[in-house]
Amino acid sequence: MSRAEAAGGLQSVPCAHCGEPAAGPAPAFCCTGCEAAHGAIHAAGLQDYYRLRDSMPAPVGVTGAPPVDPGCLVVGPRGTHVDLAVSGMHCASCAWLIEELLQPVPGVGAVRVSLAREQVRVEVDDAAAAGAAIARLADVGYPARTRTGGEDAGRAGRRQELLRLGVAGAIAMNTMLFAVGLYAGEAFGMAPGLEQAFRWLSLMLALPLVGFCAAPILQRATAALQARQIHVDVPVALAIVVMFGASVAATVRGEGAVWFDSLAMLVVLLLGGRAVDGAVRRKASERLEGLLGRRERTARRLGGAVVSPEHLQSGDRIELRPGDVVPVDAVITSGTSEVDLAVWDGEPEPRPAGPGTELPAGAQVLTGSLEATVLRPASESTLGRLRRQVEETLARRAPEELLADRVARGFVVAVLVLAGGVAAAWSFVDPTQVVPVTVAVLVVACPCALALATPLAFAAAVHGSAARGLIVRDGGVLSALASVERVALDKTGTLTAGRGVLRSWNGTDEQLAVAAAACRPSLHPVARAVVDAARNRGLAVPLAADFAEEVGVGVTAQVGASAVAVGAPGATLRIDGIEVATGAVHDALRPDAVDAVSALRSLGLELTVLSGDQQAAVDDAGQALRVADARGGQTPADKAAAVRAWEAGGERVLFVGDGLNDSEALASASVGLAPGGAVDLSVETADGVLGAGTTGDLSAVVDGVRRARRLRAVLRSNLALSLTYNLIATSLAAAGIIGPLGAAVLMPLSSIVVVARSAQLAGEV
Amino acid sequence: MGMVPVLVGLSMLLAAVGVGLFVWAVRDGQYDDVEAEAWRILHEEKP
Repeated sequence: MSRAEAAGGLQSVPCAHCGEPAAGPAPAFCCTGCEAAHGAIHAAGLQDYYRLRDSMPAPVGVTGAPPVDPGCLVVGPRGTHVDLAVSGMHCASCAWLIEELLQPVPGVGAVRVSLAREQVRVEVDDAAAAGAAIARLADVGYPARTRTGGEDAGRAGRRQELLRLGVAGAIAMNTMLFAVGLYAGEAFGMAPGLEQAFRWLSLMLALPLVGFCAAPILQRATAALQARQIHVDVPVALAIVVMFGASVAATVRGEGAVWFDSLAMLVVLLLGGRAVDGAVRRKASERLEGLLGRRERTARRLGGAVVSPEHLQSGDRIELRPGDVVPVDAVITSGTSEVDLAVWDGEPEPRPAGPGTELPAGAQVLTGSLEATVLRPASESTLGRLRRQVEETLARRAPEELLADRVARGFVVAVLVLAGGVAAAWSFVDPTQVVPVTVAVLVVACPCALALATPLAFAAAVHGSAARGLIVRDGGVLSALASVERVALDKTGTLTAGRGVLRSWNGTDEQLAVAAAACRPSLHPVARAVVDAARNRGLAVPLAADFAEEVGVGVTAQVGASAVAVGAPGATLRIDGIEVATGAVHDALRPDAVDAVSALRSLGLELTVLSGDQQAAVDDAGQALRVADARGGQTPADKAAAVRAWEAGGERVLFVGDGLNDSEALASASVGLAPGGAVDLSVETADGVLGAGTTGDLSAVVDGVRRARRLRAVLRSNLALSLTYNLIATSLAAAGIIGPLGAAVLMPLSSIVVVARSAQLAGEV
Repeated sequence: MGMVPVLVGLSMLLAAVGVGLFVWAVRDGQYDDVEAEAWRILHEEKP
């Protein structure tokens, strides 16, 4: 007999901790979380909590809040928070409204909204407060779920959104059918009974349209008004209510005009526009997830207990089996395996790993089982840091976004005032036209295009450049990048691969193969050059053991019976302490450097190479790249001085260089970008990081500049477009030339046009 | 003229069936991931 059947015979009693139904006998619990909390409270001698809690009046608006699984709460150094997947957020004013609405909920601290990820991070005291926050969001029309729930987070919201759109579409088409009949009846005559029947049928169709399909719009507008705030949905919601109310009144009275067709058109196009917007955001965020690598949702402790990676502390021991993705940064303590470190440095070749090898989060274990000790907790791990950086980027709003939001909010007030004025004016001219004209003005002048398109343009551009390897600190960096006039490039590690090519080798192929065997696990450029050379010559690299690497000296390993060492000067091979062969490693230009530099030149940018290398080497690079201004022997201070001199002369400079050595130059330039990717995330001084998980660092710069310019162009033309459209359409609507139906079609269409233009910023530029 | 109510009723019925099917399809999760389906044909079938 299963446990469920055993429980089936028992009475359902309230959970001793939270009061949800649970299977008795008392004290019974609905879940292990409650049982644990109950135990902890009793163990601490705090039983009074239950008495006090039950005697407290429930806070307004949060009664019946669903309990949140305490496992969803993330305990960090700065308190506890929960990540909620929220659907229905479309613009900066939604984000702002949510922050305002959640503040008064008891137990809720700081609230941070990420539009692009459709996520709200809420600092909470406990699981009950998280539940209350979710309930509050649902009350005001933003369905929310905890994000740690995994795959289905947000899915229910998306289904609901799709249902609303589909049902609205069906209703709109059928309403149109009757509307055509009614229009024809007006022109050619119609049996009065039939006409009235058609109106009633349209009304029946409009009920689910307003009550179900348009419900989120109405809820958001109501919530905004209750909080005495302005939201872009307010004029549209008002138009829906006025149209519906006037049409119902006309139908019941049996005279006057009905606008069920316009109503249906408006709702369906509004929902359609937002569905497009949501799809673009989701796609961008999925692409980012792909870029940042697989995120492991579980980790296995030594002994087999499966836990969430968030629960691992440094020093904890974990087990990694073939196929596992390393959940947090860890160092191997026993076992050997091939590992895929592509997420770490973009190198697709699997590498051997054994005791002492550090594995970054996101690396994949391929062949053998390993035991490892956790180096850093999940939030501090490489991927966690990169991810947080990007999330913070998206949470921060560029000045242009804030401006658009302010303009849009001012616009909404203006629209409401204008609509009032138009209504008053028409009531003198022609009272029968008051409702249609006012509705048309409300709908047509709504600044949805502006409010929707600007944050979307930034999100799309940030995501798009991230997908091509440039992760920027915030949208403002892209604005600055658009107006850059000069690019100053560091040589080593930026123009050159920081990864050498073996130019000469005075030994035999067999010796090279032995050297490569010793070099295989190392990430040092010289070692990589030796391994590449052996691979290029198609040599069979023997197996090696007992790898060791000493910084600045070289690598040692046991190959067969001999002790092999490879190290300075150049790549010198010593077998059993005797020097047998040597090779020279050249720092070659990146394969994409020439193309990228000429692409930057064709964008009209002045180019300079600033390098600490000897002038001769820098001249070579300058010649290959056709850059005349190639300065060698530059100290970090020289570079910073050069950048400052250009900036002082009114030139905006983009400096691309190593975040550690050139931090001063990076900080002095209008935009400073540091190559390095996930390995060396030197974001403290740089405005952006290049080459995170993708190939071609420099092509990401080219793409970034192009995308930034395109972003600027799109923002400007979107603004011009919406203002022109609003001016013309509003005048026509106020004059009664555009009716409610025309307005219902025009407004969402204009939104879709600007949204589609913004969405393109995520793709090729 | 007598046919109009019948036809209107029929069309409404047809629309209701369509909406019902759509609601079922959404609830069934058929629209959850429309892109993956296009790739599925490329995946090897497990016997």
